[in-house]
Amino acid sequence: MQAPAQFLARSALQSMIDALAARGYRVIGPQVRDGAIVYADLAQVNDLPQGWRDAQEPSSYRLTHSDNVRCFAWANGPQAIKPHLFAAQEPLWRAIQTDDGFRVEAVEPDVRPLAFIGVRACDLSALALQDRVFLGGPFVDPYYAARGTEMLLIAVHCSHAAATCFCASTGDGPRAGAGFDLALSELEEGFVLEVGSAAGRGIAALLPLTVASAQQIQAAQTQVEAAAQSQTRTLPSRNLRDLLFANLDHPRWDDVAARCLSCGNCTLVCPTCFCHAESEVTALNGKETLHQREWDSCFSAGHGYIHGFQVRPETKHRYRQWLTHKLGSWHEQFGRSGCVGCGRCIAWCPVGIDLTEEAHAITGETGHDE
Amino acid sequence: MSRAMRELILGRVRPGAAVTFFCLPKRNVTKEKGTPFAGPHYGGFPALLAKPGGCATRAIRCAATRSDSARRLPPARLRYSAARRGPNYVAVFTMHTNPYLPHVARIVERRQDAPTIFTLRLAFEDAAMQRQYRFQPGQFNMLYLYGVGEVAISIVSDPEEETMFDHTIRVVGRVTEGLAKLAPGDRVGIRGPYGRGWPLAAAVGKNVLIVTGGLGCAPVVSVIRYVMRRRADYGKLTIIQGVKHSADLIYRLQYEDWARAPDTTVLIAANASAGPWPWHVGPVTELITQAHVAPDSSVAMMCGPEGMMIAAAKILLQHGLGEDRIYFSTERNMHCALGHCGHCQFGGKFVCRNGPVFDYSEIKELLGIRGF
Repeated sequence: MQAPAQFLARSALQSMIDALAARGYRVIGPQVRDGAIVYADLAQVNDLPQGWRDAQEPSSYRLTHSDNVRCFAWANGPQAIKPHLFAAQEPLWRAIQTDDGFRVEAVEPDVRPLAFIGVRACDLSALALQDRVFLGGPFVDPYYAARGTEMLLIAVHCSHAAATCFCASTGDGPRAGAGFDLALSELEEGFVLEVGSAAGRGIAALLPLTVASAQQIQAAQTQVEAAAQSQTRTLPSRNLRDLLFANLDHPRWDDVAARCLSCGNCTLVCPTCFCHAESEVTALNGKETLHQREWDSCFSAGHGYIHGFQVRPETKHRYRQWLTHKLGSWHEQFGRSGCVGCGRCIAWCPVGIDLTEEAHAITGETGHDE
Repeated sequence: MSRAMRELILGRVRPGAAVTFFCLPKRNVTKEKGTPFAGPHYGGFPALLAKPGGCATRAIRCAATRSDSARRLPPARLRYSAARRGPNYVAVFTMHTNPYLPHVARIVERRQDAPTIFTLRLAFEDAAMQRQYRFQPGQFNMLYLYGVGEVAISIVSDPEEETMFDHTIRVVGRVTEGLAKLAPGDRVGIRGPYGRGWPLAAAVGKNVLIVTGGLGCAPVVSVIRYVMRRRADYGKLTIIQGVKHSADLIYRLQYEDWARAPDTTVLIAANASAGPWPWHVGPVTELITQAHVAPDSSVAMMCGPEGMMIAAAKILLQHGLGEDRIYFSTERNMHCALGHCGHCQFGGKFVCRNGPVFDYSEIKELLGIRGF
């Protein structure tokens, strides 16, 4: 049964943050920091990126400000909510020296429940994919699982796509389809609110809501459709696995390798990339050592190294690994493509390599599904 | 939900605590609505863990309780047992089932096999863990050297030996160099066993062909010993070993020993030789024809440089051996061994989870292609 859409006045948005905080959540929301939109601890509505827009192009991300009252009239920033669940760097366990050897203790992560405001549709899709990586296999990652505990997700459907966005073609946006507790559509005067779960309903019950008017619901619908239509980049939504692996000798790999710096930016901004490296940080007195992990990239020299042998010595191999994995072998591993159409790898690539363009060149696919 | 169960749950929830396991019927969980379990909910199920610090996972949605027996079960077993109870049961995993933690093991014995190769015989400090430890030949453990790091090493001992397990290690890097300096009584960390081992059950009654190249290949040594101990269960055993130069052959006495075993053939090839060399001179692949492979009743298991294995596989295919009868033990960079860290991917396969042993048909698409 579909509940009637409700409306939250712009002036009442603070009540949502307060309700979450009162429920014991650590509230995380978008803010402008160092010229980009980032997800950080949020206490005040005033901290939201009101009036800010993002202009994204290959190798370019710029924010501009206007008097617009909207707080979510942008596409995305360099990071999805990934770092809050799968930390960029975190200790896993420590080994402590004893008289006859050592003992091992887990380092337990801070598990205060998180509430996110302003999650994007593509980020929700990416989150579902990371869940499959860390929770769906024979081994459950307890660090990731602990942070996802009792997490609350408040999505905001995108009203503005960036030039780098292509979520409409991957089927992941701009409307958030599933996986949220509450979803908002931002209008000038406030927010049309949808409930996605019982947890979301519990929060909604604490807010001063009114029934959304037909015009408001229509306006919300129109703007998300406009955001979809404004997207110019596409990626074929079909499974590209066989096409990619049939083209491992395509000359385009050499072409892209000549441009690629192998810096790994694309993998670090990607909301679905999960590679990480483990290492030891030993105390100076040698009495204790910390075993930690941090994000790794298939573009790094260490990623493919085994004793005396480098699996991927050339940039060509590394770019091919990234693209054939992301758009190809991901299907085998997790049942869908690893790309959610957020376009971050395009904007944050220092030389502006466009994943959609490379995929089209290599697979010969037009990107428009029949 | 019974009063006792509820108390168990309430009693164990404390801020900062991690929660162990459990599978509970979902209907019992939903009954908890409206009870004093305040706090955030997720996805229609009340969060039974009232305070921050609770740890029932969002994706798995379930109640949690403490269970010592559950703590000892591997996660896959827990999930399986929850599933077996019916569709309304689910399992929860937390810090107490942390697969990243190594367990301390003691070096019982150390043997120097060759100048750069040594064998450690290990036993878990926790006697119960040692008793419960089971593996298959071809599987591997992550060995942890205090303060240095972890490394993936295959297990070479017999799976029926319950008091300890062996790793034969070649000194090739930071961790193995350090492991080489340890002595009996020293401690290492162990996680495992991981991966899919050799198809030894499927090979029962068949001829076993071992092809290996380079310096002593531990993964196949485990197969040879396994078959030797169960000689009646298998047909002909043929061991083919290739080395670049005759001087590279280690375990020479071991090969001579194996050659004397019943129904066993040992064939060795060196690309170049010096001094007395009773075996073949030339590429190891030339020996495969001499091995008289019976395609219908043979299984080939190989370990060594990939180029050698690919060349050998091609000849075996020409001899009529099926693609699903030719097995490779593969090796890639490995950090977590849990399918999370991404390093060991070979196309869509995780070597740590889907391998390290693959049959030819599973990996032929990418075999020999630089960059995978």
